Amino acid sequence: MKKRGSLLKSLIALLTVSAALLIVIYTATGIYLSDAEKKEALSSNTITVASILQIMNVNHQGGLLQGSNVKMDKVMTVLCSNFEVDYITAILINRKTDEINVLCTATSTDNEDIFVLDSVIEKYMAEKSEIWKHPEEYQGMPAVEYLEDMDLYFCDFPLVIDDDSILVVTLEVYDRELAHSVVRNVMSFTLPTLSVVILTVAVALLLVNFKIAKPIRKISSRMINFVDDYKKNHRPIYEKDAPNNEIGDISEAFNKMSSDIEAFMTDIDRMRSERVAAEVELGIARKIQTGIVPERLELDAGIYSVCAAAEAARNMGGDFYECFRVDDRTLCTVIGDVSGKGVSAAVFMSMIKTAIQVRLADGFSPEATLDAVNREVCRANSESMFATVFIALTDTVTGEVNFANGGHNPPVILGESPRFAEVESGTLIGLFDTDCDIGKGSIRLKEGEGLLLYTDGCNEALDAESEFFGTDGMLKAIDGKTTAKDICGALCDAVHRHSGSELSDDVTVVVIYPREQRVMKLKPELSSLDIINGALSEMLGNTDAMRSAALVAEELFANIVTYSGAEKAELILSSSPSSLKMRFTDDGEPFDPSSADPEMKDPDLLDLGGMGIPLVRRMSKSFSYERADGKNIVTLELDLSALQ
Amino acid sequence: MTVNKTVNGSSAVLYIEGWLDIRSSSELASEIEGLDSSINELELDLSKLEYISSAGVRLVVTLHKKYPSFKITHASPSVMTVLKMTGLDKRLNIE
Repeated sequence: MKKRGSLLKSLIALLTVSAALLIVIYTATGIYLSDAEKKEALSSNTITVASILQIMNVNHQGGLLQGSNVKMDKVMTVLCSNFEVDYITAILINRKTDEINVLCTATSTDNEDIFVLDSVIEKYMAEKSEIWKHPEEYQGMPAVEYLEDMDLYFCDFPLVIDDDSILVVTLEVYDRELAHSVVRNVMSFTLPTLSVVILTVAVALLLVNFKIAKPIRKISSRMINFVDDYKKNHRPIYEKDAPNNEIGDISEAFNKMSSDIEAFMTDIDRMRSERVAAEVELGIARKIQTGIVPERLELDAGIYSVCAAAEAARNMGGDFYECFRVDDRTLCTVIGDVSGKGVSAAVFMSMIKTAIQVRLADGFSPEATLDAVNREVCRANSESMFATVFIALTDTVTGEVNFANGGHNPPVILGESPRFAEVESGTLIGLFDTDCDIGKGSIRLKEGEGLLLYTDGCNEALDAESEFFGTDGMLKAIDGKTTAKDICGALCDAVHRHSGSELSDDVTVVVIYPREQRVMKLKPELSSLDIINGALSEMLGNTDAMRSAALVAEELFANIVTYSGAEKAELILSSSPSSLKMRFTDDGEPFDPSSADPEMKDPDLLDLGGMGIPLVRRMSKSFSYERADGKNIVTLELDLSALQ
Repeated sequence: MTVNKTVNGSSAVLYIEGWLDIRSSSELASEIEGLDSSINELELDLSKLEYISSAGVRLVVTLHKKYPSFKITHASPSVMTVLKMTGLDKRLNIE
């Protein structure tokens, strides 16, 4: 933490500076009174004192105040101290006799110069006696003079007592005394005030320090070291009662907060260790599941291609699927969902999947497979786990699907208007040993139709508002898609979009769909080759496979154009990742190219033609002809992987 | 398909580019018909030929029979595949 100064220290510093400043200002203004100011003060004081004495009716006889028993010297002594002068002298001058008589000299302090002064004054008065004889001419402020030999300021003022007598009142002040009096003033008034203020503030600061600054420092140090001290026993800020003020409130709030935080941290620690354990378990489950259920699978089977995708949710829901070709024309697809999550679900899933696979490989029907697996699972299922399973065996030539259902969602029949199939749902696998009712039946896929199998992770995917994706959402997602791969991808993407950042359950999709198909009505003329080549180029790109396919198509189509006399022709192209099927139909004269000599002629005779069909045979995997409804139908399949 | 030719006295080289199918074969045939009758040495440079069908092969055999000296050069692998299937690779002068 950044090192900071103390609040208290800065306040003390501020106080010291202002006190010093105050003293300096006061002293300066006091000491440096100008000479003129000093003299003016003395001059006006002289008039005042003289006036006072006049009012008190001073007479010339022994300095007694008339009608009063107060001695003149007493009065003057009081005036001395009141007006802060060193001496006041009253001198009686007789205008007729020129006699000068010092009536009285008063002093406020023990000035020993009093006798010296008297003589000096007398001498001075003698010098000025002519002036005093005409006091009426004496106007304005009395002049102040400086007696250098005595370091004394001196001011006098005449009062006319009677026709003969003039009373001259003089005030005398030592130069140093004049300055001292000002300083004394300052000291006597300002310093006590200042001291009281400083003392008060000092006491206040001490209070602030002990009552506010110290507790705050303590709280802040606790805050800084909170994490280091975590798990040590925190003592409260105040051992006993907290002060009954805001600091008390803060310290109690801090105590409460720190105990709350400690409680939370303990909770978090506990949750963290639980979570680590759960993650380890999930890691095991994930390894089992991904080892057994591939994330993606593509497969060609007869007129169909199959695309499957599986994505596990974070907590591993136990979905599985399986696709394989039982024989040349039978495709087996299995999809299932095991109850529970985590390792137990993964293990149970792998057991069920293996059991199903073994039965199907042994030639069991889907129904018999599920029946056997159910009994096997029931024998050792202490955890009462169960699974939903759907098995479909598809004839990839006729589109006939035989299925068995153990409580799984109904499949979707894909095509121009996709719809959910109505199938018996059957009972869940693993729950009822004897009373198990496996749903079974068959579906006939028409031309252009396919089958979609899925787990409830699709239709029951939840969005942020806990809304299901729903069966309508599924149908909407696959609308307009024309290949197994596209349907599979579109559905998975839509479920992802609906779910947001994290899947709520495993999502598994298996799509069986006729391979990509293009139907072309062709005029039986050579310019139609451009249409055929365009379609092949779109499907296969600019590849050797495309040129091989174009060669085969040209040979067959040229035959139709040249020899059959057909008026209409049609070509259906269906492609899968590994092969391309062509089916030429024309309404011309019956002509069976497969009956033509399959052997290539002698090269020297090739200028006579007849090499087209042998070329086609050499390049195709299969080649067949049939005559139906008055039409020639030639079907062939190219192995694209061999033509790359 | 496009054809470029260089004629040098009694010998000619035809550079054939693109697709040689049933339609372009007849174009090529009439192109060769138009060659000077004094030419007895013909070379087909197929380095830019992408595709050949049976019609093209027929034309090649015809030319092989017509010209005393006839050869094919620079055939691409996919063209060679077709020539091999017809057995012409053993009969023709292919370089």
